[in-house]
Amino acid sequence: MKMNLDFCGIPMKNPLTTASGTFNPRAHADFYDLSILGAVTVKGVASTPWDGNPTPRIAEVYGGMLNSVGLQNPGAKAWIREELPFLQQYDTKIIVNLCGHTMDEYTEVAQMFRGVPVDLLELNISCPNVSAGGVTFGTDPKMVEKVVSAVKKEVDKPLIVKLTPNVTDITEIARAAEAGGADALSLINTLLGMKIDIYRRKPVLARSVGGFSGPAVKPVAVRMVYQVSKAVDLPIIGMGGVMTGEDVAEFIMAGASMVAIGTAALVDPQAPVRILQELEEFCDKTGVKDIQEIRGII
Amino acid sequence: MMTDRFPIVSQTELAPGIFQMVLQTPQMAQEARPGQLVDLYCAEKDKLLPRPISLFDADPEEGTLSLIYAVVGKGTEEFSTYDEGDTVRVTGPLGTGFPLDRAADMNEIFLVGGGLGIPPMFFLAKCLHALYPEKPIKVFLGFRSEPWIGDIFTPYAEVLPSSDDGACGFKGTALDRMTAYLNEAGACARILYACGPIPMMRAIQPFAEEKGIETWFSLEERMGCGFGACYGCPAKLKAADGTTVLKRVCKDGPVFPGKDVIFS
Ligand SMILES: Cc1cc2nc3c(=O)[nH]c(=O)nc-3n(C[C@H](O)[C@H](O)[C@H](O)COP(=O)(O)OP(=O)(O)OC[C@H]3O[C@@H](n4cnc5c(N)ncnc54)[C@H](O)[C@@H]3O)c2cc1C
Ligand SMILES: Cc1cc2nc3c(=O)[nH]c(=O)nc-3n(C[C@H](O)[C@H](O)[C@H](O)COP(=O)(O)O)c2cc1C
Repeated sequence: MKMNLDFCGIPMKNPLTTASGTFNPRAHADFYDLSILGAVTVKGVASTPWDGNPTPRIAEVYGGMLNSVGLQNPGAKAWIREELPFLQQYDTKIIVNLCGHTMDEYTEVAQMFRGVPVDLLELNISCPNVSAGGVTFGTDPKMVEKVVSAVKKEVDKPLIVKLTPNVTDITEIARAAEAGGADALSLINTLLGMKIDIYRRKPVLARSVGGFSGPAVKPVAVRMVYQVSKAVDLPIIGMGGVMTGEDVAEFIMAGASMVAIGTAALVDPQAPVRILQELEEFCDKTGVKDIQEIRGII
Repeated sequence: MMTDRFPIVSQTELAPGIFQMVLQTPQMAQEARPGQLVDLYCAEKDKLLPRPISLFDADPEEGTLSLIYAVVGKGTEEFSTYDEGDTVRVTGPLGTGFPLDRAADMNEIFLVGGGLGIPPMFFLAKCLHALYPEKPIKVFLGFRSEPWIGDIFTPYAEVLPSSDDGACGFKGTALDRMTAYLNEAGACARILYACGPIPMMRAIQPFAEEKGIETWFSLEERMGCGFGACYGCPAKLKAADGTTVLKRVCKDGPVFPGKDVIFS
C-alpha cells in the first residue's frame, strides 16, 4: 500500500506528523524511532527566548486538556544550535513552527531560518498581536494576509500557515492566508477553553483561560478541514483530537493531505507508532491502495 | 524508560486514604533510582493525563516497584479500586532523582519528608545507607497528626518524627524538629534532601543557607504529559550567571539544587 506523498514539493514517507508543542524530539525519542514519521513538527520558536506563562499551565477536562504553556521556547538561535542537530539524525522531514508577538518578530524569526536545513516552516498565527492591543493575529483576515505575505517574502522554504479555530468563518481566514501567499494550511490550533475549580472558586489555570485540545475537539476540527479544503486550493495538514489511525483516515477524507498527532502523543508517548499501524490496517481492511486516493472524497 | 501495562502485585491501605501499590515491572525496577517518579494512567478515558507518583521503593531482584499514594481526586480514587492481578499503564522511571554522590564528603545526612513527600525518602534512605553504611542518616518526618509510616526507616536511618498537633513525636514542623536537633549537635558537613509541601521547602531554604547545609529539593507541579514533551510543569531556578532558567519538573527534575529554586 502506498503511504508516501509529495507535500509542497517535499517527499514524505507517510502522511503523519506531530502537532507543534505536543512533541519534544529528545523526550519522544526515548519511546520510538522518530524516523517512522513523514515529518516532525516542533514547538513554536520565536526570534528571542520566551518564558511562557505562570503555573498551573495544564488542566484536565472531559475528553481532553487545557494548556496555557504560552509558547515557552529558547529562541531561534539556541534552537538551531542545540535542537536541530539532534533531529537531523533521523530520516524524517523537519517542520519548524514559528511564533511572534508583532509583525517584526514574525519576519525576524522567518529570516533566522533562511539557509537553515529544515524542510518547511509553519506560521502559528494564533499569537496575540501585542502592537494591536493583544488581538490574535489569526482572527482578522486583513492581519492574516498582511503577516503571511510579510513572512512569505523572507522565507526560502514552503510556508504552512496554521489557523486558529476561534473565528466565525474559518474559510474567510483560509482565503486570506492563501491570498498572502501561503503554500499550505494546517488546522486546527487549540480552541479557547476554561475550567473552574468550584471548591476553590478559582480558575484552574493561572491565566484563567487556555487552549483546549484532545479527542473532544475532533468533530470541530474535521468540520473545519472539510470546509477549508472546499474553499481553497492548498494542501492541508489536518489535526485536532486524533487518537487513532481511523481518525487519521477521517481527516484525510475530509480533505487533509497530512495529519498531525497532538495530545494523543502527550497521553501516550508511543501513540504515533500505534496510529501508523492502525492506519495501515484500515487501508488493508477497506482496500485502500494509495492513502491519497481517499483524500477529500467527502 | 518505557511505557506499557504492568500487573499489580499487591495493593494495601496503609492508613485511611493512603495506599501502597506494588507493580511487577522488572526493567523499571532495574533502572529506578531514588527521587524518580512514574506516571500512572487511568483506565477511564475521561481522565487522559497521567498521575505522577514518586518511587517509594524498587526491588530489582523481585522486579517490583512500590508506590505510596493518597486518594485526593478522581484518578487516585480509581487507582484505589484496583486489585492484585489488575494491570495499570505506567511510564517511567522519569526524572533525574536525588544525587547520591553529593553525600560522599558529608559527615551527616538529613532527609526531610512532609506528608506525601515522605515515601520517596524511604528509597533514598535505603540507597544512601547501602552506599555509605558508616554515615549517620537522620530522617525528619512531618505529619499533620497520627503517623502512618516510620518504623520501616529504622534499618537505614534514625527517625525523628514531628506532628502539627503533637500526636506523634515533637509538636511542630519537621524544620522545628531539625532546629532542635541542631541546637544540640556539633558542627559538621551536612547535606539535606527534602520532599514535601512547598511551604516546608521554602522555610528550609534560608535556614539551610544560614547553616551552610547543601540542599536538594524534590518539587511538585501540575503536569501535562509527565515525560518532558509539553512544558506544562516548569520550575524556576537561578542560574550561575544570575539569570532565571526554566526547567521541566518531570524530566529535568523533580530534584533540583535547593539554593537555586525560586519559589513564586
Ligand atoms: C513529582 C511528583 C511526585 C508526586 N508523588 C506523589 C506520591 O508519591 N504520592 C502521592 O500520593 N502523590 C504524589 N504526587 C501528587 C499526585 O500526582 C496527585 O495527588 C495526583 O495526580 C492527583 O490525581 P487525582 O486524579 O486523584 O486528582 P484530581 O485533582 O482529580 O486531578 C486532576 C488533575 O490534576 C493533576 N493533579 C492534581 N493534584 C496534583 C498534584 N498535587 N501534583 C501534580 N498534579 C496534580 C492530576 O494529575 C490530574 O491531571 C506527586 C506529584 C508530583 C508532581
Ligand atoms: C501543550 C500544547 C502546546 C502546544 N503548543 C503549540 C505551539 O507551540 N504552536 C502551535 O502552533 N500549536 C501548539 N499547540 C496546538 C497543537 O499543535 C494542535 O494544533 C492542537 O493541540 C490540536 O490537536 P490535538 O487535539 O491533537 O492536540 C499546542 C497544544 C498543546 C496541547
